[in-house]
Amino acid sequence: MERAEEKRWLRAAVKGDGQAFAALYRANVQAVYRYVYHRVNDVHLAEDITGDVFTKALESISSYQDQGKPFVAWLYRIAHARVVDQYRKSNRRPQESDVEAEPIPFEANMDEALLRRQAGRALRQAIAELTGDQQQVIILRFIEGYRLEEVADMLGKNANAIKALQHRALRSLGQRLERAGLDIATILAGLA
Amino acid sequence: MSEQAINPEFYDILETCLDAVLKGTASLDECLERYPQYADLLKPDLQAALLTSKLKSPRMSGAAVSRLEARLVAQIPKADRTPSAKPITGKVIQFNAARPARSLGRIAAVLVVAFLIALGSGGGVVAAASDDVPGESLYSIKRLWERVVVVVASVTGQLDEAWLRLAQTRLDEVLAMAERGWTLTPDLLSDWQTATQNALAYNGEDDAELAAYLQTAQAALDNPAITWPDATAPDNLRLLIEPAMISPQPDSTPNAAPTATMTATPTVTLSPTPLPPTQAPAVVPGTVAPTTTPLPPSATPRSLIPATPTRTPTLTLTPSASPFPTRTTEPTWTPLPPLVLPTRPGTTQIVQPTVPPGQVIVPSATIWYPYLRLTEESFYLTRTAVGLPTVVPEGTP
Repeated sequence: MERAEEKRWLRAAVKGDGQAFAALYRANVQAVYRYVYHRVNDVHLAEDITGDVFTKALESISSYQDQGKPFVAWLYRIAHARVVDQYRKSNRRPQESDVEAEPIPFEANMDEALLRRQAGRALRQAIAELTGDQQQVIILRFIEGYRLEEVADMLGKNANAIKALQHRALRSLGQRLERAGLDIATILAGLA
Repeated sequence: MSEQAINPEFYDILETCLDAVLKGTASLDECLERYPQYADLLKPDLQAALLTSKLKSPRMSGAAVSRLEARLVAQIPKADRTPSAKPITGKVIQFNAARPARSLGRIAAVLVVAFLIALGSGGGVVAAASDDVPGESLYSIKRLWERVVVVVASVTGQLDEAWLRLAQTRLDEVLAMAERGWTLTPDLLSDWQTATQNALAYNGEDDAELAAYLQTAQAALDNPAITWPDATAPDNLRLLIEPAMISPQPDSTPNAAPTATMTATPTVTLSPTPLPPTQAPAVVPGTVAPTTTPLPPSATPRSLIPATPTRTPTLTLTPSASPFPTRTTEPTWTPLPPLVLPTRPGTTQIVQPTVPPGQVIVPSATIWYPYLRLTEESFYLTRTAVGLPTVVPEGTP
């Protein structure tokens, strides 16, 4: 959805237009779902939380004020709060030791498809174990493909802070993958 | 290399390389060759970033998307009617209710609202309840009164002001509970959220008072003295307040952040309408009393009433000698010495508020009650203590 079109829908939705809100929902539901999924690493939980996010957005849409950011940035903020809620409620946020306790086996004779699946699984698990801020940077920057300045704007931080955070997140991710026995260079060579 | 030792230049180089590698304009090895001094640091970061960028993300199934959409659509009419999950006024307030045009009826209704608020703050049980917080004995009366005000405001089209006042009142209660070291109740939080949401819905985004309220409310969310019922409790309010703020750092001009006008109760800014001069005759300190000089017959009937002699000639309430009392737009309170009123059982003295000499006080809700009492006393005197003058026909010896 183009920004101009999104603004039109937003203006209508803020005034209580249900069709406009439905259009915004359809345009953003997958992005919110991906964001939540990579944070909780659970398909069903991601669906539930995505539903909560849009329910909350519907309740609060009348007070939405356009600050020049894409609408999805507001949804991400709601999603972030819901994910944190979920962690607190369930107290099930994975600990660092979980990675070492259950390493995902990588073997030299794995076929490429299996290797990719295992690598994907290890990577998703490693992302889910990062800190909340690190997760947000990794997801928005490298999965959703936003530019660094856009990520900074969405998270309400300055670009330099995001640069440092980005480095810490990538380093932590690499270390986790290494501990899980994943040879990133080999995987990347296989994907090339 | 530890993180503390990282040259800030590295972050910029990492960002440059990430951009190039992710866009495909340079390979990972080319970046490492370009910045050999940072190759050891760059390599794992770029590898992790590249791998992550190739990660496939699942999609929410079409059935789940449709299911959720149907659920949301089912909620939309309800959301249209009531902007909050737990509206205080239930069905009385329409979310998109058009504001009635200004008319004589509206002006009259505005006066009614002003009267209600003044009455609520001026005296009696409602005023006594105005500082109560949840858990205190008169709090329910305070809330009941607020409902009356909101219902009337919905008729007069003053919901913007009413909801902003209520949001400020809830915020004041939150801060008052924090001062006492009490844990906030979930109901208070919910009501605060509702009032804030309605204040946002009914007030324009350029409203300075709303901006001031939002700024204070945001500060309260970060106030460590507040004990929240649970750690996530402020999140919903934060979601409501922060996106609604016009700017995180308001303009530095004095009008931009009028937080100094925030008061403990919202009623202070809604001062009662002063009585017109004809209902409140000017109180003239009698320096020479009693006087028996009749006023000229051209005066108003009340001015025909001669002053009554008193046993303790200190002060006498006398009507203004001027047939056209001067109307002041902002009535002032002139300090008076203690007033002794004549011959009414049980009410002989009214204690005036202590005012430093030379200081002028604008009547407010807190001193309105004695002001009314004074008026009542003067009315009583004119009706009962003084006889009407005898009219003698001309030519009578």
